[in-house]
Parts: sequence; C-alpha cells; structure tokens
Amino acid sequence: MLTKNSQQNLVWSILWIITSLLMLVLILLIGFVFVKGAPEMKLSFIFGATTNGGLMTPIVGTLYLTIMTLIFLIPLSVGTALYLSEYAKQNWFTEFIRYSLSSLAGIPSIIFGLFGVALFVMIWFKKASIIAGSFTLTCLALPFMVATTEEAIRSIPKAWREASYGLGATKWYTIIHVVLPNATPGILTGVIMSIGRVIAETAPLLATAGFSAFLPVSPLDGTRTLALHLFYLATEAPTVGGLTRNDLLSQAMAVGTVLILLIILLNFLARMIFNHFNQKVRGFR
Amino acid sequence: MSKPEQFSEKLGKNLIFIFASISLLILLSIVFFIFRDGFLAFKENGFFHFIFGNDWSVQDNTFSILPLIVGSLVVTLGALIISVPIGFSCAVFLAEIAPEKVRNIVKPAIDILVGIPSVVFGLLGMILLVPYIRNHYGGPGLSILTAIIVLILMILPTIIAQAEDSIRSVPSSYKNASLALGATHLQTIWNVILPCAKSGLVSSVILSSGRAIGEAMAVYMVIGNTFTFPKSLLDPSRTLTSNIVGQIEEATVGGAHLHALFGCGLILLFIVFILNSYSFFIKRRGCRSC
Amino acid sequence: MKKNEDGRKHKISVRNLDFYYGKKQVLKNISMDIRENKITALMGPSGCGKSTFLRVMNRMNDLIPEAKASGTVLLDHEDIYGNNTDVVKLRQRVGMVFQQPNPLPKSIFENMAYGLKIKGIHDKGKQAELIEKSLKKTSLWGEVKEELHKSALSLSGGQQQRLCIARTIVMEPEMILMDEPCSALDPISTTKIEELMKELVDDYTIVIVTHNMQQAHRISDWTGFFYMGDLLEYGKTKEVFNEPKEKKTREYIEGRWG
Repeated sequence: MLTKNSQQNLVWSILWIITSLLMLVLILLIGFVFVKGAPEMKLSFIFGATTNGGLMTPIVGTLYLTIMTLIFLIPLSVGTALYLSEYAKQNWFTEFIRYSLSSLAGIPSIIFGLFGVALFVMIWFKKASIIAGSFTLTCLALPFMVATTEEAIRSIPKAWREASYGLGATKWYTIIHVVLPNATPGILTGVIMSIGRVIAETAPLLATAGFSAFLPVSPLDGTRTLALHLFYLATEAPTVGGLTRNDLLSQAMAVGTVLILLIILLNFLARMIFNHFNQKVRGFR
Repeated sequence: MSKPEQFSEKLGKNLIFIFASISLLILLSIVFFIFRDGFLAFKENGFFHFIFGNDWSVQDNTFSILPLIVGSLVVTLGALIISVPIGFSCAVFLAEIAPEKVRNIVKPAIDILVGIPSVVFGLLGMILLVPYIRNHYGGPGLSILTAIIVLILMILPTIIAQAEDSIRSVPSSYKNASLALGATHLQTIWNVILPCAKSGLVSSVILSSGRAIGEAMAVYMVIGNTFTFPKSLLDPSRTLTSNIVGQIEEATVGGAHLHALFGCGLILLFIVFILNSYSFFIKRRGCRSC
Repeated sequence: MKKNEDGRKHKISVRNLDFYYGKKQVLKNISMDIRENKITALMGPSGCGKSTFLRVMNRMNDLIPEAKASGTVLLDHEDIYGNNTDVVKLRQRVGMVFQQPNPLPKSIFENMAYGLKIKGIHDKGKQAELIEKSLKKTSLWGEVKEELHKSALSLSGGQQQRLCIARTIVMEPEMILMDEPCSALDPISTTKIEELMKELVDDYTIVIVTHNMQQAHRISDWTGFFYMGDLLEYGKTKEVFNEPKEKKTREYIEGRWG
C-alpha cells in the first residue's frame, strides 16, 4: 500500500492533469472561434448593412435592446430592493416575495421567451419588437438585479443611517444622500453583469425581438441581436446570393468572436468596479 | 419639514411602492401564464396522454411529450454524471492545491467561460463535434451524445466556480485543526473540508443541472430535433427545451400549439422544482455546525 | 412654567412613560425631570432600559418597527409624542452622539455640512463659518483645519467622536443626548471628551448614558438609576452616590454587581 504522502502526491498529480486538460480544451475551443472568425473580421463586415451580410443591424439591435432593457430594469429593481429593505415590514410576506423572486431566477430562459410571446407579443404589442424583447429581458434579469441591489443596500452600515436620522434627515433624504450613493458600486456591478446576461441570451428573444435585417428605428420595429444573428447564420440556409454554408458558418464564428470579446470586456469592467469598491471600504475598517 | 420636503418624501415613497408592485405583478403574471396555458395543454390533450404519449403533430392538433421528457432527462443526467466529478476535482484543485499565481489566472478565465453565450457553444458543437462524431462513431452526428458533450463543456465552468467558492468558504480553523492533529492535506480535504462544503457543493450541482436541463439553444443546434425515442447515444432526439425553440415562432398564432409548448415548459419547471426541493432537503441534513 | 429647586425650568418633563418593544415592556411608569444646562447621567445594568429612555427623547426609537410609547414627554412644555410633532425639527433641537463614532463616509466638511443642508443652510460661506465655530468648540479645529476635505473616516477614534459631537452642535441644538460616548475610546480621548462636556453644558442640556460610575460621579449634576425598566432612584449626583436611598442603588455603586 502506498504511504499517506505518496497517496497524496498521486491524487495531486491526477488533479493537476485533469484541470490542465480541461482548461486546455476550453481555451483551445475559444481560440478556435477566434481563429475561424478572424478572417471575416473586416471593417466592411462589421459595419456593413446586414442585408448585404454585414453586422450593423445586430450591433445596433443589441445596443438598442440593451439600453431599453436597462431603462426598465434599473428603476424597477432599485425600487423593489428599496421597498424590501427600507420600507416593508420584515415579515413572512416580504420573505415570501424574496423567495419567489429567487425561484424565478432558476427558471430556464426559454420559458421567459414563451411568457414574452404570450403576453408582450400576442396581447400587448401585437408584433415581435424591440420593446417586447426588452420587456421579456427585464423580467428575466429582474430577480438577479433585485437580489444584488438589496445586498448592496443592506451592506450600508446601520451606523451611517442612524447618524443621518439623528441629524433630522427623513427616510427618503437618507436614502438619496447616504444609502444610494454608497450602494451604487454594488448596483453598478449588478448592472454590468445583467448587461452580460442580456447580450448572451438568445432563447427569450427568439420570437419576441423579431427577425428583421433592417436597421431598427422605433421600439416597435423588430430587430436581431448579435447572439440571434449568430443563431440565424448557423441554422438558416444562405439567403444572400453567392454565399455558401461554410461562408455563413465563418461569419457566425466572427460574430462569436465579437460576443466573446464583449463578455471578456464586461467581466473586466465588473471586476475593476468591484475591486475599487472593496478598496474604498477596506480603507475604512 | 417644509412643504416641498414633505412632497418629495411622499413622492419617493409612492414611486418605490409602485415599482415594487410592478415587480410583484410580473411575478404573478409569469406564474399565471405558465400554469394557465400549461393546464390548457393538459386539458386539450388529456393529462396522461400529454405526458406519456408519443405523438406531436401540428396538423392533427395532437401533442404529447414523452420522448421530449426522456430526451431532456438523458441529456441532463449524461452531462451531470461526467461534469460533477470533473468539476469537483478541478474545484478542489483550484481552492486547495493550486499556487496563488495559477489560481489568479484560472479563476477569472472560468468566470468568463461561465458568461459565454450558449449559441457559441452550439456553433462549436455544430462545426467541430458533429462531423467528428459522424465520421468516427457513425450516425448523423447530430445526436444525444453531441448534446451531452456540449452541455458538459457548458456546465463545467459553472460547477467549478460555485464549488470552488463553497470550498473556500469553509472556515480555515477546521482545516488547521485537522492538520494539527497530523492528518495529511488530502485526508483533511476528504474528511473535513468537503463534508463541510456539502451544502454549497450540492447547490452547485443543482444550479448546473438547472442550467443543463434548461439549456435550449446549444442543444437545439446539435441534437437533431427528431421526435423519436432514441435507441442509442448516437441517435438524434429532442428535448423539452429544443422543442420549444423549434416551434415557438410557428406557435405565435396561439391555440393548442402554443398551449402545448407551455405544457412543455410546465413539465420542465416541475422537474426543476423537484431538483431544487431535493437539494433543499440534502442541505437540511448536511453539516449543521458549518 | 414649572420650576425646580434651583429656580430653573425643566428642559424635559417625563410623566408616566411606558415603553414597549412589541409585547415586551422595557420602561415602566417613568417620571423624571431633566434640568436645563445640567449634565444628567443615566446608569444601570445592561438591559435596564436606560438607552431606550435616552432614545425616547429624540424619538430615535421610531426606527424600530414595534416600538410603542405611552405617557407624556414634554420638551419645553410640548409633548414630543403629540400628533403635530415634527420629528425632523425635534431631532434638530435634540441632538445625539452614539456609542460607536459614526461619521458618514464623506469628508470632514461634508459631515459637518450634512445637517446644515437639511436645515436649509446651503450657502457655502455661512456653512464654513458655522463649521469653524463648532470645530473650535470641540477643540478639533487646530487638528483638522488644513484637511477639511479629507475623509472623516481617516481620523482616529477619539477625533471621530469629537467630530460627531461637533456635527451635532453645529446644528445649534438645545439638548445633546450621549449614548455611552466614551466606551469605544481610549482613556486620553475619554478625558478630552469629559472636559468638552463640562464646557458645553453652559450652552446645552446634556443627558449621558454611561456604564462608568466614576465618569458619572465626575461629570454629572444629576443621576438616574435604572433597574429592569424602573427608575429606581433619581437625584443630585452627590446625594445619589453618597447617600443612596435604595438598597439596589447602593449595591450597584459599591460594585457588588452590574
């Protein structure tokens, strides 16, 4: 029988190998996307009209949809989080709301797509459109944002609130001048992570955001996001003349490259804000 | 308090209350729609027929989903069986064994991988895996096996990230106590750290299984989407989620077709609910003192 | 106007005060008068209700969801629990210093200006003038005048507490409530603050909750002894310490328990 130490060394080696292999595979896969996508990354491709095979519509569509989603998401989640932590009585009802919201977070995103179709597309707006898509995405991201915002708000020390009240401030004044300014970094990190989620999601948008290859103008226009565009390129037959299936797949790889780069950027931003925030607080403990 | 101050105080309070109510309404609507339309599917197709039947035809207006349930379960379980051991191993490695420098590179990489869009994984599956499996193992390439492999690659980063966090949050006092008593690092990990991280580890599995069974796009792109009971791993199939992806645009007209898709969603939720409850009870029985 | 033995008026008159947290009664039928421009010390073992009583006087207890008060608490003859009470104004008249120094995460200047802005004083020049006056009163001016825009959290514990006191008096209150203000500080800072209190009492009425009997004996004019929600004894500090009327008071003072 091996000694305790050689047993441990054996296990350690196995773990090293497993992890290295896994990381290698994953990095190679990502690298493959970059390699296959790079040849297509010409400026004419990125900024070309989508009716000609360019990426302008998905880029604008992604921006449009993201901004619109944030417009609804941020007030809703900050308001709900403030209600739960500052105004509501802490009883079974508020616990129930929190529990329900966190359960919502576990629902697969395709089901949000079904919900979005049934309510926003079929009943409210009558067509797949940017606004239907952003409402759907708002519902999807709401549980996460509320939880993150509440956490940021709860991490404000009680002592700061007491100091403010003791000087005669009202609850709302304290929220505006003490709570929210200091919860902002946490909220911002949550926003960036939600943006990452919005950009990566396809299933909720399939039938809610539309299909159009034209540049969107009004919120009632349909459009496609980068992720949706990748999906269409990969699964639909070539429609633009002269392109083969392989061309489309290469284009899809290029879109994939753009998406991965965006995710990396957002991750980096979130990390930077988080670290800056931590430093600010650590310096004071 | 002056009049304008009183006003803004009231305004603020009302705004917050309105926003919170909207959130609550959203919650309720989602539940309402899923259950209402899902139950309509049960009603229109007969509950037992819907769940255990084997036909899906839009023309005949008849829908049932047993092959889909089987497809979803097989694909998810297949992915979990491989990912959980590998994921936990990597998590242990990162949390306890890897030098700080390695950890500082690998952990951020894992976080990024968690955020990579599912369609990218689907695309990779289509371009790399499908031809490979077709050429080396036979079959059309679009198959359950392909879907399982793609899912493994997708949920591994999630498992690793969560499990690593749980292992790290075990108080170092336990580790020190064990080492001070003469146990090796390995023994400490196996006998002290892992049991104490149990609740977090179970969470990571549940979260990943939720992600696996709920994954729609990547699975749709590689599984072939035929409505049949697969006889081997190399056969194509369809899952509850990929079914919705394939049919949702058609079903926008409403009616029994749309209800049937909601029925798929409802069953999907039911399975996720069982998974979550199972984890809840495991956590309860776990290491209470940790 | 009610006058007491010295011919001065009472700043606060409490009659038959009962206080509840939910179903638990933490103050029982308290009646006492706080003398103007005197230091009144509130003492007693942990959990006896002295901090709760302190917070009654500026209604900070309102922040606790199930807190309920009955009885009358008159500040200059107005019931602060009356229907028309403006709690915001009350807290500007009755300031509070807490056990743990709690400067806001802003600069020293902004900490001081925070309350002034609430009061409606937005002119930077006027703010600077009032802030300098208060910081001088708390002997902080010399130490921080070059660094008013530095974060308040970078000051030492003793300085932070003096800042909190300065932040309170820049509001020109009538009373200052202090909840064990020195318990988190070192002996030198404690001494500085005790000296400060002796200077401030000429302009303000001070009520201090303290666990430190020697401190109470040193600085206070009147002392109230609380025990399990009752006000067991209340009188001039000299009398309470030298000839306590209640057995429990004597035992507490002698250090038998507490």
